[in-house]
Amino acid sequence: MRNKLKLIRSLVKIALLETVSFRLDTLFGIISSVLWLGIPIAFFKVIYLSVDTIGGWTYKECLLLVGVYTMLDGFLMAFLVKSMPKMENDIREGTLDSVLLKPINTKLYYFFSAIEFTQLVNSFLGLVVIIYACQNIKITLVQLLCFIFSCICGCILYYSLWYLWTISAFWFPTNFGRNDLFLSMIQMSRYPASIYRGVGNIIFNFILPFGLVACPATIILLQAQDWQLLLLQLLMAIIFIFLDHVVWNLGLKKYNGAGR
Amino acid sequence: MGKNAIEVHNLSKEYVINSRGENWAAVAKNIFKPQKSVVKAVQSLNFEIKSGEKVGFIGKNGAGKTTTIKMLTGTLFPSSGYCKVNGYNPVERTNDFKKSISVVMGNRSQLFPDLTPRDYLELLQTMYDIPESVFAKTVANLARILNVTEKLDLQTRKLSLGERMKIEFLAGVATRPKVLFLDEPTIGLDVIAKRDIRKFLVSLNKEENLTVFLTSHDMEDIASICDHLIIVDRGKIIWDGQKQELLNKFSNNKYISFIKSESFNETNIKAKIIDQDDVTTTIKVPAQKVDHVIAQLAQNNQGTDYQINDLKLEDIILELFAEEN
Amino acid sequence: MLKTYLSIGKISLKSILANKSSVVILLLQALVPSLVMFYLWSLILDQGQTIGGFSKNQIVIYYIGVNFINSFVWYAVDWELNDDIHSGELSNIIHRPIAIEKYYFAKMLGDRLANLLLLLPILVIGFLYILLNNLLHVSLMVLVEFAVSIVLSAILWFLFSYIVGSVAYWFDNLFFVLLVKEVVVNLLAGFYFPLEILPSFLVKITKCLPFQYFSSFPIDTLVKGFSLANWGKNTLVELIWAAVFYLMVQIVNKKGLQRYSDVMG
Repeated sequence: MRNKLKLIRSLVKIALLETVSFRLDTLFGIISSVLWLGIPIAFFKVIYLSVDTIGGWTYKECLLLVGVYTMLDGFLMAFLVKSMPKMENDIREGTLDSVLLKPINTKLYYFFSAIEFTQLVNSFLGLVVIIYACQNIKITLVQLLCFIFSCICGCILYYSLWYLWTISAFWFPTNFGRNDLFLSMIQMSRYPASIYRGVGNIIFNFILPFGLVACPATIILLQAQDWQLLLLQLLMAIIFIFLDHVVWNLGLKKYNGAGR
Repeated sequence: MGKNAIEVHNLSKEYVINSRGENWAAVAKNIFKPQKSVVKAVQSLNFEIKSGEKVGFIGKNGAGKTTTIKMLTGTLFPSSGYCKVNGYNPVERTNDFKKSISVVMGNRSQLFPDLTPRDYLELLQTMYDIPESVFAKTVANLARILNVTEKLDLQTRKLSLGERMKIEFLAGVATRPKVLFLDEPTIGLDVIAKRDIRKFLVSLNKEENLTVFLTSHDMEDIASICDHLIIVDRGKIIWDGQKQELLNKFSNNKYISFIKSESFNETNIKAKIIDQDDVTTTIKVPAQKVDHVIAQLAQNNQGTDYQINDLKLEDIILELFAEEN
Repeated sequence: MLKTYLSIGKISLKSILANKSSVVILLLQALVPSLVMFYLWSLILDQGQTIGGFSKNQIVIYYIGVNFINSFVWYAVDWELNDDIHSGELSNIIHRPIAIEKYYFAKMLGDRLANLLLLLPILVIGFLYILLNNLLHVSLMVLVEFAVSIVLSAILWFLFSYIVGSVAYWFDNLFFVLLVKEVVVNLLAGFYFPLEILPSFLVKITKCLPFQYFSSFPIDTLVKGFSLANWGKNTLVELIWAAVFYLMVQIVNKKGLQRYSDVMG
């Protein structure tokens, strides 16, 4: 365990040094964070100029949702935005071996192998928006705990989705657009889950559970009595962890069978 | 155009690099005030290469080999001095110049992994404006020599490293260049692939009077292909001449290797020690003194299992570097 | 020389055909966000209201349109150039007898045409569905205008992205610069929402910028239908922008290559 920590620490240090050495990029990283948060807020603001509620959500509530989404998104992006493309590339080009041979869990290695610290600025800004949007809401300690729990489940779902999508490269080794697609999909998590009707409800809450990434945590802050939603979220998170594991092993079988 | 394929006059290249610093304080300071230092990659090179020569350009890592090739191919502009290749100034990057050269780099693939080698070759054919029938014939011929005829229609990704490298070679010469630049072309290849490629180069040089400019760490590459050697160290030329000349210069010396005995004492050795580890020692002695030296060593009980060797090209180059220091 | 460009185009076309599943990815990329927008706007405009002059059907088609343009017309020259410059891949192109900007343009052309080719059946079915269900009224004239606008948007997009990507000659890492550019351009091009739903002074500003021609203008042409005079006037402005960008490409390219050859090689 101590070894693992040491390894993680040195990986983190390398990533930090890399971040600092790109000055211009760091500046633009911060600008991008502000925009990343500003665009969806502007989007809702413009819509709420013409309507009062969307699927029962007021502007303030949507703002809270955007805050929660941005916070979770920034946190996971920091770890995944560079390492997932790296992993995809390794799978595609057959260079995964060198990682498999390392005496460390492969998932853990990729998770920490390329950290983009500027993304954490997003998380911070997201938190600021959450606090702003919660000004007039009374929150109990239980609610807060439920909120944190729900955020963790949301993170797991977010990570699992990206992970599954990336390792689909075992079967479809096409060399572009995979991560762009995920990034444009996951943004759908910042819209209220209640907008989906019928088929959409099944797709976006169960098959591609974007609706379960940030919405439950937001709802629990607004309405403490909706705790059943958390059970659903937990269930889905467990199912997806299981899926990750199974699909990864299947993929490895295919990878090793290719006889590189 | 004269008979010189390449002329180089006082060619120099300097880089300005930012150094980041070793510790946190230096890194932080560097954000506001970057520290710059000048690196002289190549310092006033002068040489001439006749058309049809096979030149070996030799040096350690960081000696400026790749920088020189890049300047000769017009990818990099010199800081001062100039060069002429096939009578053109590479800096102008005219299409006529570009068509008269070819570059093959061992560590950088120019092929398209998703497509077949033939797709790539077809692109080159139109890009270099070569009549289709002529090109087809050339490719078929080259593919036969290199043993890759049946690989031309497979997806490049599926080819082995050696096969891919052969295709790079094929593509490099299929455009009928006058000068072929090769940067570490046999890096990571197996013995047979290396042999095929060497044979290929030598025969092309003979038949088409192709000028070959080669850098390699593999002295066997150099020894079997090149006739003209240019040796650089830290951006400067330390030897420029025919390979035979260099071999002759060192032919009156031999290396003696032996296993050290228990009474071995370094101070007893009158000759220059070239290499030594816990078990063996190698010394350099003039050819006519070999017998005498061995007799003396044996008499003093310094070692056993004496072996006498000529200096190989590799040894000679190491000696040259040693002399420079 | 034209033959060379055709040949490069053919190469990228073959690349796409070798990776057919990438078209599925692109298709999903276009469809899923459109679907989400469909649900969202269906809810907002469920009583038959309009917003920024768009009815429910129009706005859904608008989103499908911009998402398709995003996936199938826009080509990430800037990211590619950034990669090629920093990986040194550019050297492979420099010593070839071809101009670099033309090489990339040919590559984009081949790539986009290949995508269109593969998607043609789906596009035709989708379009027929929209027309037959009377979700949209278009005349032949509008279709021609739309086609011209799409082609022009691809060219303008290329020129602009090439300029942005060339910044990589001067800076080490452009990841976030390109990300910011992406977000700003997407916003101003009307990718996130139709520009017309913005407050009117903002609409005026966005209409003065060249970015609206990347997607808002061609899709508006299709969905709302402009008068010929209005469309012609806008297209003229677009052509002027293209000319300006073209000149900038020439300058940036020359200086950038000089810099590349001085420093990076």
